[in-house]
Amino acid sequence: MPAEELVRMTGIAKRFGDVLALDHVDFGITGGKVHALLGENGAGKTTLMNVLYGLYRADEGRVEIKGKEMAIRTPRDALRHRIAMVHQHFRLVSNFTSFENILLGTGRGLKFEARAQREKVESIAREYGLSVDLDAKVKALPVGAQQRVEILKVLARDPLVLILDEPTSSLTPQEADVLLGAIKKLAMNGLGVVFITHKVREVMSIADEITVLNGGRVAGRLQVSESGEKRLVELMMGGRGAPPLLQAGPTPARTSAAQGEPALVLTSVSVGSGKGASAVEEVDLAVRHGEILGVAGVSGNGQRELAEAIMCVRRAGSGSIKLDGIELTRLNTKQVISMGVGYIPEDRMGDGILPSMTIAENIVLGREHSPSFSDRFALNRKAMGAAALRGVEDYNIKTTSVEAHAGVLSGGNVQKILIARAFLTQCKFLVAHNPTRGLDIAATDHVLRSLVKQKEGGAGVLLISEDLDELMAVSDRICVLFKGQVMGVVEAGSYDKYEIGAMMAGKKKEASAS
Amino acid sequence: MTDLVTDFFRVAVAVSVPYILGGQAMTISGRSGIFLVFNEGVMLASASATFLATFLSGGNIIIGLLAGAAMGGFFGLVMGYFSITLKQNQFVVGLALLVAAVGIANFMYSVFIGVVIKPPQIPTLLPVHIPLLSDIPYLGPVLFSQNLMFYFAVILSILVWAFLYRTRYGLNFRSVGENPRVADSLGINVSLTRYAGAVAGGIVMGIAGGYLPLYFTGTYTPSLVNGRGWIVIALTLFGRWNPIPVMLGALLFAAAEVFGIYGQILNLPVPSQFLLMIPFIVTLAILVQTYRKTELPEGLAKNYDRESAED
Repeated sequence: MPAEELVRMTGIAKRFGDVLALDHVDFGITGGKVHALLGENGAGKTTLMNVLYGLYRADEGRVEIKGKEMAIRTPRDALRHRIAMVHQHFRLVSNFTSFENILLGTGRGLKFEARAQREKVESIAREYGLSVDLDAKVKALPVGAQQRVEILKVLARDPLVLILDEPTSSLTPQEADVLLGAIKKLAMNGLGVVFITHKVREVMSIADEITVLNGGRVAGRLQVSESGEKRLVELMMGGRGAPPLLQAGPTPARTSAAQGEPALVLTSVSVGSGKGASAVEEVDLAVRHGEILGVAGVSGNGQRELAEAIMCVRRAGSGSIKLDGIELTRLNTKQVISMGVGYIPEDRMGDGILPSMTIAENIVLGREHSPSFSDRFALNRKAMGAAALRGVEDYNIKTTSVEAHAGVLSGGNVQKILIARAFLTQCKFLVAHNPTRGLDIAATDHVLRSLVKQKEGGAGVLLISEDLDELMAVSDRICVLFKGQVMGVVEAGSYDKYEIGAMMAGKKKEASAS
Repeated sequence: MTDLVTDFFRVAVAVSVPYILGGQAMTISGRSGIFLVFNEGVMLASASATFLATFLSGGNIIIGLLAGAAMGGFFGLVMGYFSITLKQNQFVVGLALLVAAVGIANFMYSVFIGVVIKPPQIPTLLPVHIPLLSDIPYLGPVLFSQNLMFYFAVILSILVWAFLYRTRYGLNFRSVGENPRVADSLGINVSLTRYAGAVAGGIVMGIAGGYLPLYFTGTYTPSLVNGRGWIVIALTLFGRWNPIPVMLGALLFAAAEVFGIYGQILNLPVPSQFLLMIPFIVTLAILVQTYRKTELPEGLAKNYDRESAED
């Protein structure tokens, strides 16, 4: 089949306020090929594709479809040109069924004349191995199935170009394999596929062509045959810095001598979800001092409730949570923090910062009672400012001043504030929930190193993450949560991505001889 | 005694009409994501418009109701402009429009009628007996000897339901109220849909207001709405923004209102003020019971901006 160029974007520029998010980027999509768009968070990958999909309007540049210049102003225009996009955050109506979501926006008239549509969807699902329950409400489906709905939804529109934005980020390794297989098949059938990712390994396994973005500019354009993982990482990072921790691979096995005293001990802890059913059920866990315990699992399997129960933001329904022998379940959050527990919450905008307060105030928040920041009555603004400045420098928070309002910062920078706050002092214990989400490689690396430093300083660390590579890179043990239950615990040195993936999908670990 | 019971239900059904229509108005606009809080004022403005148009046209009820509907539609359009185009907080806009509507209602009456000793009267709606069906014992007089507006309200409720849940248009329409970002990304015109929801809701709310002088008083008084605009919000919550339960909820609230009146007629040994509180107490009790379980359209009262950050 002759490879036909479906889309050509030339000189695309997009500004958000003063920030030049895309700096005259050229990009092309060819039928039958998978074109990986690789870059760090904030490199402009999604922005570029949002321009093509009509969600953003470019300030400069032109888009040609099959050689003809087209103006794409809305997603409707894009869909008319048979360009479809699967967003990183699923665009699904959670109160609708899968099939209703797939039907959405495709036609007019009576819903019950949708039988032909249904047969078509079922045949696409069979062809690409994307099975879903079409009559279940989307909110009742696990994340992996929701994504299949999302993909079926766009495939039902017969796209020529399919854009996938970080499609594997919340899948188990097994699910990711199925997806990558489906993508290859789609490309074989002649579609032009754009695969947006920051994971170098995925690019090597799926892509035909690669465009690397860095800071809104094209840092490199290569064929997969002429690239290597190392080269791609260099391009992504703009050739700076040491090889990050993530690229170093899994933590080696520990010597048993390194095991410290138990720090946090959970005994048959159950936590309600606020909707009747319990989100965490009968969990037994122990985290030692000087240890990072990774918690793996697909998002929404009780991770959040577990973290909040430890911090006493949410009450454990039953069971005991002890830190260094002291029962936490009867304390309040302030008391838990003052015991030396650091917390990086998952929902950074909702639970993490106070947008109308300054960066300095936000960084010190929760420790403002400590003698270093206040005497009996007044806050020591000077000390707060100094501590904040240190955080801003350490974590490269992009701001004009520590007195600026936290609400004006971008998501990645807000995340850095939370991290600066948690690492203000050496913790006794640290609960970190998705601490690297939205960060670039350098900042991710810094956070992971800081976690390791906390651990080496004697802290016990509970690291909850959806990123298996990250968990395997720094954790001494990984426990897997599924529907609020512990499916099993794996020791460093014997990490197997697929074993963990199976547990994430609900398969209990087989009891081993050890 | 059976006469009294039949009578009670017959009146309750007639009284339920503004609740049914108001509830459907809330449902239509709410399903597109627009939360109407201006009802108490807009119903009064429409009542005033309906009364005046009927009076000035020499007793033409149809013209009166059209005027009421137009008044409601106008407020729906203004609501849409502020919340959809200018992206202002829907509750703030709604409350401001409520106050403005009350002013307009009284102003129009003063301009056209002024201060008179004996308020002018317009014809009120007469019951229409449906052949055969109205002869059924008990049910006949209660359900099939009502004025035409009751039948209109029931048919409208069923149509709204069929539109929302049985057509592709309705599916697209509801998706805007649930998740405008999703709808937008699929090429559904969010602004247009919401304008349609706001205006249609306003029109139906206007008809609900127009019913008040046509059934209750035959004239306009500033206290004509008497809290119904708020109860409509409560019963829509109770009915989960779903046309059929909303209609049944309207009957329930109407029964509570009529019960207060009948208590007075029967000389129950309770102060009349307490009896008149019954609809509000029922409202409160039902809301407390149902609020936690209520599934609102997820995008309700949230304005949508395409280029704003992902939630």
